[in-house]
Amino acid sequence: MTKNNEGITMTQHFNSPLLSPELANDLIKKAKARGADFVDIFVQKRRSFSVSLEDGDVRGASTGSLFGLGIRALKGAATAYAHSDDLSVEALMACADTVSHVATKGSDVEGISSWDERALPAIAKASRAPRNSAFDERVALLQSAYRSIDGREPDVNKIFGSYADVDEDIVIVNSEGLWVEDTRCLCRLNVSVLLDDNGETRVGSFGGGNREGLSVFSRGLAPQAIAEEALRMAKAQVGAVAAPTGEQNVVLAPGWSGVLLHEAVGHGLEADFIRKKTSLFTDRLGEKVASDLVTVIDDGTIENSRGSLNVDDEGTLTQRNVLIENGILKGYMSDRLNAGLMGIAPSGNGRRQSFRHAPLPRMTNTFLASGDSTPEEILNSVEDGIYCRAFGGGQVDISNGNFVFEVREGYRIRKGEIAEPIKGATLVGSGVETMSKVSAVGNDSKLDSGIGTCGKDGQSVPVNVGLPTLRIDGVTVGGTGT
Amino acid sequence: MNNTQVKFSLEKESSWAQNLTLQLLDVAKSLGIEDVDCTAGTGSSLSVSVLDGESEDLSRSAYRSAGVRVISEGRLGFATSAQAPSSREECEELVRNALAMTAYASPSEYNVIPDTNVADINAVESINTRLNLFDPELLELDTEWYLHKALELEKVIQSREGISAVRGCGGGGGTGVFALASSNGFSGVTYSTSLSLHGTGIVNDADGKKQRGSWYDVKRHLNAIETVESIGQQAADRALAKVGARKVASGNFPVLFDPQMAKGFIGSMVGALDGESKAQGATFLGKSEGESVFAKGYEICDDPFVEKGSGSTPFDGEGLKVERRVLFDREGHIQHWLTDGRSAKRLGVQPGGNADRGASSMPGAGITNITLSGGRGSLEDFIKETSRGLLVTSMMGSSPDGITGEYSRGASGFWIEDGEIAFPVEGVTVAGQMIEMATSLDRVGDDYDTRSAIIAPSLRFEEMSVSGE
Repeated sequence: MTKNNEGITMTQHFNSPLLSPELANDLIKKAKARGADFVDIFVQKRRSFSVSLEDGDVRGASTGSLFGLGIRALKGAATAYAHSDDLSVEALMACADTVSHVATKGSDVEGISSWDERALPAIAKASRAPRNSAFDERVALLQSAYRSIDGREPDVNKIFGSYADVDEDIVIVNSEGLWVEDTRCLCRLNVSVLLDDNGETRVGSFGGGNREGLSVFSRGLAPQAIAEEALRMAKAQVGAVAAPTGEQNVVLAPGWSGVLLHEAVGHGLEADFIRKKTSLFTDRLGEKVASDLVTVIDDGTIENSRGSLNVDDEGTLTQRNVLIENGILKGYMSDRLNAGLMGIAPSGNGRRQSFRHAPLPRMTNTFLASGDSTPEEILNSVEDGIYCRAFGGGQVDISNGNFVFEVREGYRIRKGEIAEPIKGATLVGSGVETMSKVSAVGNDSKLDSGIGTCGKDGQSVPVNVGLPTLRIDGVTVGGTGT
Repeated sequence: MNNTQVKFSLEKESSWAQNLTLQLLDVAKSLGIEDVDCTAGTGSSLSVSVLDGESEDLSRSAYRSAGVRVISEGRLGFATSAQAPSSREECEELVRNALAMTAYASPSEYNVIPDTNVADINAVESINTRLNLFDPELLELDTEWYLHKALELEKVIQSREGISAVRGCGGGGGTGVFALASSNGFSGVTYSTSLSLHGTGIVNDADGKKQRGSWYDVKRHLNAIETVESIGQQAADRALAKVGARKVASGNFPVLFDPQMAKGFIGSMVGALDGESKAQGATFLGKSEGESVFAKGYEICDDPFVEKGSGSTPFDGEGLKVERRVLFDREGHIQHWLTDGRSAKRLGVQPGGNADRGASSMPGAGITNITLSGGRGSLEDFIKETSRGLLVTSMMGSSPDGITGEYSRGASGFWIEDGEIAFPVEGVTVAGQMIEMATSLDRVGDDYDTRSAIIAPSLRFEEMSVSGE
């Protein structure tokens, strides 16, 4: 047993082979024995660490491990899935037997004689993975974020911080002989600030991280800068008034506002909803579904981005997929199953939360491409409206495209200038309708700082979203003011 | 696909979980750790879904996991493993990992393993029996049974005129065991089953738009589950009723929540009673002690002893006694803050026995079952009593902000005119402030939705801000 200097058996956790070719072969043969078209296996060994801070105190540190295997068999449109964290041959063969029931008529199954080991690009590659760094260092990041803003503002009542990382090895093999091994990590640091504004509490919150490991916090995303942004956001809301109700012209700030895009069109372009004809984008390839100014891209290959992957969870290389180009619907995001049934190529969007889940078509980094306008031009063009700078979450009903998303930091725009802060605003709309009301697109598209987690069918996966400064006319804003 | 059963021996799994927690505790003590608690969980489940008369998904799931919480010199450390230890060496590794984590935490007097009001070890099994959360019959169900139900459900929805497609018909069931052993002397195990059936009907609306209507039931016992006929009809009803949905003009109107929506609202009020958040100044109820924060005449309780209840439990997540507690009394005053050992210590009160915990998570204050008494009437009654207003039957977006109490969510439902449903509504928001909303309730029903731990009736708010056109 190899131990690092903190007494945690981290190295040992990763250095054994996760799956032998012989066992893989036996499992695939068993799972195909009743005539399944396709079988794949996903093995995952993960170590996670998290720590939280309340004011200067580290509340508690925790570490977790996850190790297991999931096996899937497909027959036509049917899927059978089973998984086990008991890695005895007996338990795994029982899983293979369970999924073999996806089909009924067996024939002799030949084993795989030679595996096709897929070489992976270095899109998401840790330069300082959590497994190679001390816990002290990670706790210190959080402490330095806190110290940089502690005592700065007398009205700050509370500062919270959290840091979390995961580091894992995966193996994906399938009945076509594919063999993929990869290593993935993800880090994230968050700071929240509660500030008293004459008895009302204002909240500022910011965070970020990516797949390059701890080095992100010494390069693009300093813990002090994260804390600073959280403090700025809380202070900016002092004196906030109730958000107006009714239809408003809205300007979205670049970056995390992309959550609107994610909800308004992203989910509706996932291939399972298209194949099952539940999405309002079904059978609309080549049609105009947004303003001419709108080009939407899902790109899993952006270096070390939170939503990026070298390879998706089915062994398909990730790629850059243009979904909407100048308002015209161009493509969907697909996994293997749905791509096969639809007669299209898988787009590298087959993702899963863990070995306990079967893959689904999911987004990676989804953004709206830059246009021609400067952010100032866009803001100045609005006589009376709302400027949305920071957001909470969002949600969509993919069948009618209705979506909501919550504004966490918003302002009234008066005569082209940012005016008083507003509170309690929610934007609601319908995907196609809202995208057709986009009247100006900024030249400043960027991805968010790396805080997004997308939920679908009970599975969570990390994603990025992005947007340039955007003007949308006539969006319904829900507030309590006038 | 056929015949896969859950294959679960309650006796074997319960004793496995309890023995593991005791072994972890023993290992911790042998390492000189005095304050520690250990959890273990195991479970097994099946789920199926169908599409267009064929089985679509079959999934079988089994898990084992364990967690160890250690307090050493006032410092808190925690470790979990989703591959539960199977030897004393592996137990030691997990305990040592938790202990190692303490090195990175600050010492705090609030880090405690609570040792007052510890649950009676000898009473656990009799409470388990009384709560009746486990139905052995459910273990006999195989995938064929679920498949058959799902296909039947799909047929019920499909047979309704106007339904263009049926999606997401399926069901599932399973069982879970949770064990806890603590240095406070407690050791116990609890176990439950649950099964669910769900379906969605889709209707074509104007401009290529579709409308969905879903319904589900979830129960602990097989004989209590709603019939496929009833679930299917409700899913179809809900989809068909949405055709032609539109926005309404913005303004302030009476707003009705059906019991399913009321559940979220009551849950947010109760969630704001988190003791830790009170100590942190991070709940909108924090400064409201002694004030009416809920309409008068009703009582909201946390009740761990609801028979077959979704949130029922014989002991809390730290091994303390659980009891029925009034949270908001008939004056609308706060009567009890939900606390675990840590938050009780911070607030300087006795631990409330409200620790909620999974097999691989640290404890935090939570609810068991929430009941609301004192109301009378049904949604139908309240619609008749509303001359003009909005009935909300589905909502989108996340919960209201628990810190500020600002409430603003996307909503759809029906417009009410002269005591009758006039037309379906979508794409609007309803907004308010939590305390103002709770005190403005002018109708509270007794038509409870019993499917979840928050057992809520229909509600009518005197006035909320509705934003549409």
